[in-house]
Amino acid sequence: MATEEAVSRDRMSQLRRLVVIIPVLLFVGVGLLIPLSLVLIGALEATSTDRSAFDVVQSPPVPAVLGRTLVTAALVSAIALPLAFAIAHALRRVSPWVRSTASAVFILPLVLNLLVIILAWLLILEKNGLIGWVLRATTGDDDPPSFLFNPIASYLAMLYAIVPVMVLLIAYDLGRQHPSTREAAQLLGVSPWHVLLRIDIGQALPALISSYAIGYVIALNLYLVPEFLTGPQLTMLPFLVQQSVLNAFDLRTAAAISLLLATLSLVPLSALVWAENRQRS
Amino acid sequence: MGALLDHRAESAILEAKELAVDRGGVRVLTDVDLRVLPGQRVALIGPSGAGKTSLLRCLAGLESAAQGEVKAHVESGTNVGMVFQDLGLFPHMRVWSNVAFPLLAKRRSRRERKRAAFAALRKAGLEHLASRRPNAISGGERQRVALVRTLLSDPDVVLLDEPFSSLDSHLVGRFTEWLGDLQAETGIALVIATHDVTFVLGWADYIVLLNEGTVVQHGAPDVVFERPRSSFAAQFLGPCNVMAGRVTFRRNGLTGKEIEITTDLGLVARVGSHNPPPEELPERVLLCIRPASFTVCAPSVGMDDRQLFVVVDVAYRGTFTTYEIESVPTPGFHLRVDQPNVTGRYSVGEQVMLEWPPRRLCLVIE
Repeated sequence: MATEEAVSRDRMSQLRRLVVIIPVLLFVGVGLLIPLSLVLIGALEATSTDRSAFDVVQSPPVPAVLGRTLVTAALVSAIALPLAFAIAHALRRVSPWVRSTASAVFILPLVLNLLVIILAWLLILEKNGLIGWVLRATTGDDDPPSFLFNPIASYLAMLYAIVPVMVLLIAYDLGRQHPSTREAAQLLGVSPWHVLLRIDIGQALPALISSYAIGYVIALNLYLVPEFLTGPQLTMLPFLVQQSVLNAFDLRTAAAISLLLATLSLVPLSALVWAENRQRS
Repeated sequence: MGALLDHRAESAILEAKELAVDRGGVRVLTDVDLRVLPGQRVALIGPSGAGKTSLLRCLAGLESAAQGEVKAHVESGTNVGMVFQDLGLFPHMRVWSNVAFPLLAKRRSRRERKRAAFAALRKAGLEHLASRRPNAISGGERQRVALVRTLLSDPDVVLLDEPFSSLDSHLVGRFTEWLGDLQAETGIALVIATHDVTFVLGWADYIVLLNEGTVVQHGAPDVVFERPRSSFAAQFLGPCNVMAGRVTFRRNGLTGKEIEITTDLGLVARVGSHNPPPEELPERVLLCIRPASFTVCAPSVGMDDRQLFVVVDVAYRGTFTTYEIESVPTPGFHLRVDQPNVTGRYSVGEQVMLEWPPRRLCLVIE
């Protein structure tokens, strides 16, 4: 009798969960997946340029831009990750007051418009900007080099936008780790390097992977940064999507390029998350 | 001046001298001395906030002293291990990886570490858990895994912080038995911080009672239990009847010390020779009597009425019964008395009298 009641209760609670999940699934299905599928099907057909979207993505400059975009996003996220971990790790050991202040500072770039951030970096990197002024003052050179219009300028601005998000994510995870694990590791006689690698990083690995994935996705969408700070040599694929829509109103091509980018990004990220989950189970 | 906790000639492997620790600007430990001898079982006891964990952390080198010092035996190169209250197991590693972790310091290969970890787990009867994660095993198993891991770092002293806080009472017995076997085999010294007095009295060679960051009393468990130096010590180590009184007779006689105390309620008690010398006693003292030190008997003809009590509550506790009795001439004055059940039992409302064996009474000067 008691068992039947328990089974009944279990079924009811499952039903309640489905009542919450099903509307969300319907919303995503009807509102996104169906139109997306229609656009994708349309992309297979010939466009106004007499080429299908698949032809477009296979013809220059898309493959080169695609490769550059993936490498840029992966590289910037990879540089941001150790920086963010080091900052989050240091934040763990400071007083709560310093931690709160630092967190507030890290949130600031997240609420700033991207164009404002780009403008700030223009003011820093241009010939008459902050760095130029410092160089003039220290070296006496009246014509210091410009730090704009090279890939490093874009990487710096992208890091500025990505690192705070990663710091907040990693710091939250490190805050959940119990300090006794670190102290236990230290007392077991291993080197500080082993403590960092196997305990701090080991425990934070899922958060590091999530942070990397989120940083990567944000970097993909920072396509305006290279347009202003570097120029055509670092044009990213989302910029081509934007151009397809704004210049030719070619939504099908834009959708095809976008889906290609999403697929090529999601596959390695999913593999990373899957490998981590498998290792932990 | 700190209390020197052990005067034995044997050299200590771990020693704290006049130790003081501050935390957040507040002094949490004051003037603590401690010597741990090889193979010794030391128990740090005291209520929450007494400074037990701070002392352990200081001994382990995790906290620095504001004053005084902690010395590990230099010649033997004392290695101190610690098992934290929450055990500090690494949740992202399997049990065997946790156990093998100390071997990283010895630059062993992964294969060697794995082999050594499995051997240690097998010895501890935990080999079947080797491939699990710490969160997939029980509290008692986690406790043992944490200790096995610490032992693989070859410690001379292991500090255990509240090792029984997450264990059921039946697991405490099994764990301490296992701990005893391990200690007999390895010869390590153990220092346990706990508030489990029942366990400590049966297990420790030496106990250190802490309260509000200072050592209140230290010594062999039976000595501290039977000769408490303060009403706090008396009551922390177990139920104790404390009565205020004055010294009405004192003499260093030919047969030893003769001290007579008259309590404020008029009860007269002669106390044993284990108490301070009569000449050192102030006029006002506290008389401490453990519930089991009394003998309850039926009232006799012609007895002093001041010794007459009435039973107000009876609690059966298996091998003994706890009686709460109230003074007949002074209503409101209660005593707790534990009597073995073999001596017969009394009911609520029944009148009884008490016998006070002098050697079981203890004087406290406060």
